[in-house]
Amino acid sequence: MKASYVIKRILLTIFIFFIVVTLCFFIPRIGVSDPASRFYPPQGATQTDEEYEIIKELTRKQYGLDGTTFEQYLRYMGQLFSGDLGTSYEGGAVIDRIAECLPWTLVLSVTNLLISLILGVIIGTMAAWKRGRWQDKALLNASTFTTALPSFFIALLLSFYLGFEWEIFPAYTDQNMVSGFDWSWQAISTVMYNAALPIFSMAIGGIVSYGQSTRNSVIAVSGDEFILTAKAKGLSNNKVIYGHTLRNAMLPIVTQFGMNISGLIGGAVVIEKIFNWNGMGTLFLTANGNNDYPLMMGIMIFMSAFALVANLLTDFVYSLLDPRVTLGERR
Amino acid sequence: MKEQIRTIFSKTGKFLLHILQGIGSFFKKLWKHKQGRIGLIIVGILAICAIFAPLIAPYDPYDVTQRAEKGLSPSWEHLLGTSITTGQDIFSMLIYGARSSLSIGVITGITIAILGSLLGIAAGYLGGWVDTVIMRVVDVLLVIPTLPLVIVMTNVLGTSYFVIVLVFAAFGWTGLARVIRSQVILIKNANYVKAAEIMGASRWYVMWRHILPAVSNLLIMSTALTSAGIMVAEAGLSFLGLGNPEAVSWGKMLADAQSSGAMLFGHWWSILAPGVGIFLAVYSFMRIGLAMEEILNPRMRKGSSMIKVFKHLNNTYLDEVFASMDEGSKLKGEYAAQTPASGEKDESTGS
Amino acid sequence: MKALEVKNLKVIFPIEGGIVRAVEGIDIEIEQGQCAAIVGESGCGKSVTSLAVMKLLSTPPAIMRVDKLELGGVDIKDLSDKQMQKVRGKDVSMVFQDALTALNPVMTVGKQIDEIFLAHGNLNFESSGQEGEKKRFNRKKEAKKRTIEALKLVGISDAELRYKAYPHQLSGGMRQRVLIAMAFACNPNLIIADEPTTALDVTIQAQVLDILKDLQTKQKTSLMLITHDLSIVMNMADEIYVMYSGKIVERAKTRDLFTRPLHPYTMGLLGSIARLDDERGRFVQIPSSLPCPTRKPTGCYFHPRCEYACDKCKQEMPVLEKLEGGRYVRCWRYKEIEYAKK
Repeated sequence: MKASYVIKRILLTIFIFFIVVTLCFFIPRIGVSDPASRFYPPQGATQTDEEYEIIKELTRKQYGLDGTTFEQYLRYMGQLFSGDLGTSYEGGAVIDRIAECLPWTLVLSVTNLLISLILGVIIGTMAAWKRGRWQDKALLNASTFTTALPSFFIALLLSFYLGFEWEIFPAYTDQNMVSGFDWSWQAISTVMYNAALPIFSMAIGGIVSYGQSTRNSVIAVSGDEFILTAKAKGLSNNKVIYGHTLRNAMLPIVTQFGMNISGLIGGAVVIEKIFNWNGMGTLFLTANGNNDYPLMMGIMIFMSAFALVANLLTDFVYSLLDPRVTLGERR
Repeated sequence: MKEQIRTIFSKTGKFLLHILQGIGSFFKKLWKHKQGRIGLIIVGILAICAIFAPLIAPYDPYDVTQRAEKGLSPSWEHLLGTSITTGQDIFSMLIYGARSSLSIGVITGITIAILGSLLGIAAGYLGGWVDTVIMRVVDVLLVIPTLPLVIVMTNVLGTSYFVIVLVFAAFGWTGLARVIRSQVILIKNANYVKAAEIMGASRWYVMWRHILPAVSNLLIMSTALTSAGIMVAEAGLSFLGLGNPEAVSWGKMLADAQSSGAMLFGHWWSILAPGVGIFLAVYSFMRIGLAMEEILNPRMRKGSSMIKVFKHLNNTYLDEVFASMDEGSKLKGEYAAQTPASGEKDESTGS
Repeated sequence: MKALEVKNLKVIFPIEGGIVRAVEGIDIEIEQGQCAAIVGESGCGKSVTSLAVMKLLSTPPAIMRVDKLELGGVDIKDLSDKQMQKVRGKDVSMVFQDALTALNPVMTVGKQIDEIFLAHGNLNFESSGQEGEKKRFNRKKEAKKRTIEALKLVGISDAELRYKAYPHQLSGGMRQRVLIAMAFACNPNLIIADEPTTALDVTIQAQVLDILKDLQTKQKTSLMLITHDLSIVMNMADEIYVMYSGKIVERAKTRDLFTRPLHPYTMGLLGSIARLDDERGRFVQIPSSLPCPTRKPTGCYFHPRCEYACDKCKQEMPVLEKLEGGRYVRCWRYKEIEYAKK
């Protein structure tokens, strides 16, 4: 791994982040001449137009919407460099709102990702082992089946049957869970109990998708000649499978895992809505409903930054795992 | 001048005919493929539902005058009951829902195919700054979370049919463009393309004659798969209440069912019906896409056919095959040309 | 004692629409310290033979039957896969054709050779500590020391540095040397080299063959060389088996085969070698190509391409006839052909 590659890659990441921020700033302003107009108080009967203009100006200042769009843009960028994502129209710093909701989303998505990865790799390896037999066919059919079943439909079915009909798991999140969370065992187990259905409805698809790609990758690698070499060396089956086959078959899985990590925060919007889960998705939908632009922008920028860092890390990890790839040459 | 126009017309005509023939032969192959045929049949049924919706649906799904009959259970009159808040006939909504789902899926899929292939070919074949710019755009779009971005766009631009197609197409082409680009780079370095360039073929000629046909199969396959993906995304969007509010769509039916308490009342049909609709549409398109993939790379699934062959073998048959190889054996070489089918016959006579 | 003795080896591959008859009952005997070459066109079953001898063919896709399979006098015919693991790499090892694909791309070459030493033990622990962790550590150290020795043995300079290299960082010749080092690592009885030089430049080919020959005579190993190129066999092999479409068609000592080929196919192969003392105007070529392995012709498999074919050749498969001087030939008309040529 050369230092110049690392620096180049980091610079590129910063450049992309800059463009993302620019897009996130301007897209909500398309076709809006004066974004502050909805905050103006009605013109009082005694007020002259000049006085009303002053009130308008003050309102604009209050929401950070004074000056030309470009000036606002520069100001926003300046704020961003000092780590400030601005203030929500509903009150409160954007960064605080995000910090409130982020852990709850991570509980769902990180658990989901880990379950999907671990079970998927195990199932996929087994299917490759039993290639062409019923286990393999079952995985293939399950994969077309679950990819065609949107996760939110699975979630609705689960919340209908397991939640309402049989009352095994809560169909809606208990909001006290969030406010009363105190790291006690009871609180943690309540969270897991409430998270079961959302995680399960996302993980079904994830497990099958990791399973299918592991299966394909393992089969592709076991056809490679170096596996024959390893066998000809007299290595035990376990050594061949773990030391050579899986080691190489995991490379595409690392890429897939990296892509999933970059979507970790923004991937559960619909599921969060169904289970009334107090995460980033719900926060974003609320912000969208209230036309709370600073909050929406902040969330999108935060998600993008997260994805960028995740991509960067994936590339680093990948170049460590595959010596043929020098950084920046992949893709 | 007239001559020129005529030749242009005849050339484009031939070109179109060529494309049509290609598509025709492709459908033929698809029909022969078992899984592909399942997909084609389901898509066909859904397409008929979508096109002839007014003839098939027993009620007008937009008609909310049947309010006296809210939340009916399935009966012969209302096959899937009626919705809880407005009393619309669910079966009719289901039929009409195929319209928005299929049309948005297919139209966006095709738009993405065109956009993705053009940008992918341009990036891969032209290289240089074109490549850099396109790939940086891809980088940016891959980083911004898609669903929130789409939500913001619909917030700003409205939720008309056109906007939804536009937004999905604008953010959906990146994956395809990347795949096509890497394929094009492979083909660009192939000797036959180099040979054409050495003989003086222009860039556009090479793109049309060599590169587009080489990636076209890939393109058809990925169009089917993207359409499926877009249908899921559209259902998700309208489930969030951000779809086209005027159209009946499966996602919106799900959202209505959930918000009107279908779960509390135990109206499983009002959740299951639109869900199955989404599933069938997506499943059939994916089946077609995967079948195409298998037709294009027959090696993908060889393992299962191997198992099939081995199932049909039995020891007497194998003994004969091996005996035919013995020194001085009088058995004919032709014997080895027997198919597994005849092996199966051996098995039945043996037992 | 014979290093390898194979009797009546048959391998088939059932596929959809027929059975590929890859190897149709061949016998191979290699004396200790000798080099035998199996020569034939690609697709004639040579590589399958080599894998079958290592018992590396898996079922499915292959089905293998053999009457006798002995390595250095030890019967390995009925050994289980687990028992074979102890034999492979230690008593018999293999040099593959394309070193780039035959080496694991994400593992250093040193580690890949280490694995053989670690798998087949025999590491003496002069420098070893007492228990557990430390012992393991020293095992690895010992393996590394031996690997570096093995790398030096095949003429790799800076062996310590190359130990840490990944396959893609080495040149083609260097990679092939690594494979050879790997094959000779545990000083096996028999080494099977499957087209060891086909992927290399001609100049490197000579170097690699020299190393192979050198090590073989030095370590008194037996060698089974598989190739399509008779010219490299000339200086390497003691005995040559000519294989055609899954059958041995001629077997003779190298000198005999080159001076007096009997089978028309061998003549064709010899006719396509370039030689310095060549008086012919052009190469002799064998028309057409190998028969389809699922639909082989009746009679002698070579008859469609043979200029001497008669009616008998078209109907009956000739037997492998034993001649004086340890020669074998599978042809109905070899006497007449030899007479006609004179």
